[in-house]
Amino acid sequence: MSRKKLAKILLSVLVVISTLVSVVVDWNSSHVFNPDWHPHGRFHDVMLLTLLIGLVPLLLWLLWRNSPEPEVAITVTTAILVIFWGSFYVNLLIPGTTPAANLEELPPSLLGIPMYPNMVVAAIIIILALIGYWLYHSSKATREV
Amino acid sequence: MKIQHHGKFILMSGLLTTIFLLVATEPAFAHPGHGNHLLPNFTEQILTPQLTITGLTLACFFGAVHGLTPGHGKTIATAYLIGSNSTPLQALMLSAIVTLTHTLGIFALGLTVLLASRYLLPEQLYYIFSLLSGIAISVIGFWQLESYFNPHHHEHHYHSDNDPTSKSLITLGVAGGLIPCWEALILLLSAIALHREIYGLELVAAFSLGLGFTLTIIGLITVYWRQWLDLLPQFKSVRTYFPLVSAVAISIVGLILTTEAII
Repeated sequence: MSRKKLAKILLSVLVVISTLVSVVVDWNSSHVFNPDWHPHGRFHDVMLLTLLIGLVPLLLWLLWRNSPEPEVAITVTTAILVIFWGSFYVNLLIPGTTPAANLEELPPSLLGIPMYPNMVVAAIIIILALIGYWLYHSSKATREV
Repeated sequence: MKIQHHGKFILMSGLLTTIFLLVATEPAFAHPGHGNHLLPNFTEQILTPQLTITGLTLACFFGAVHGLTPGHGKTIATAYLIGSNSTPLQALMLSAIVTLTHTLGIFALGLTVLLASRYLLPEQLYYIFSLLSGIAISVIGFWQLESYFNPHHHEHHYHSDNDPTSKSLITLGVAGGLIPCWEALILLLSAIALHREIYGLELVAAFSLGLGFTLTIIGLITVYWRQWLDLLPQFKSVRTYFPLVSAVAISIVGLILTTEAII
C-alpha cells in the first residue's frame, strides 16, 4: 500500500469516526435529550451533529474522487479534523464551559492536571490527522498515486 | 451479554483459583479466624515445581477458554481469513502475531502501570490502547474495501489483491492483539502485588499460549472451511463477494471498537 493511499484511508477513517463517536456520545440523555440543558444549548448540539453527518459523504467524495489536485482534499480534510477536534481546546478559553458531561464525576489527573478522556481523544485524533497529512506529502518525491 | 458475563465469571473464578493455588498454605486453613496469616503466606511461600506447573497449566487452560469469549480479534481474523486467499500457514502466522502482541501488550501495560502507578491508572491506558487498536482495524477494513472496488493489475506477479501480504497480516495481527484484556492484566498485577513478578510474567505467557492455541484452531478451521467451499461449484458466485463481506465486517468491528473505547 502506498503512503498516499494509507493517508487517504487514515483520514477517511478519522472522518467517519469523528461523526460516529460524536453522534453516539451526544444523541442521548447526557447531551441532546438532557432535561437539565437549556433548550437552545440542545438546539446547537443538534446543529453540530447535523453538520458532522453532512461532512462525512462530502469529505469522502472529496478524498476519493478523481482529481488533478488530490492534495487539496488532503489539506481540507486535515484542516476540518484539526479545527473540529481543536475546538475542544478552544472551549477551555471560554468561561462557563467544561469538557465534563457529568459534573459529579471527577476526571483522572496526571501530575495534578485533569485529564478529561474527550480531550485526550481529541489530541490523539489531531495527531493522527497530522500524521495522515504528513504521510501524503512525504511521498511527493516518488510521485505515488 | 449473559453468556459473556457468565464466561467472564467462570474465567475470573479460574484465575482466582490459580492465584489461590499459588498462595494457599496450611497455616491459613489450620487457624480459622486468623486471616492475617494469609497475607504473609502470599509472599513467603516457596514455589514448588508442582505448584508452578499446576499454576501454569491452569493459566494455559483458562487462556484457551478465554480465547472463546468475545474479543481478541477473532471476528476480525476470521473475516480476514475468509475474505482473503489465506493458507493454513498464514492462519498460523496471524494467530502467532496476535498472541505475541497480546502478551507483549500486557507486559508493557503492566510495566507502565507499575512505573507510573502514581500518575496513571490502568483504565486510563486501557482506553487509549483500545482506541488505537480500533482505528488500526478500521484502517485495515477501509483498505480492503478500497482494494475490492479498485483492484490493481500486477503484470509481473501472479497474485491477486485478495492474497494476504506479510505486511497486512502483521498489521492485522498487531491491531487484533493490541486490544488489552483485563483478565490477563489482573493476573499479572496480582502476581506483582504478591511479589511474584517473574511468576506473574510466566503466568501471563502461559495464559497467552492457551489463548494462541484457541486462536490457531479457529483460524485453521476457517481456512480449511473456506478451501472446502472453494471446491463446491455452487459457491463460486458467492465466493466473489467474500472479500467485500470481509472488508465491511472488519470496518464495522473497527468502528464499533473505536466507539466503545471512547464512550
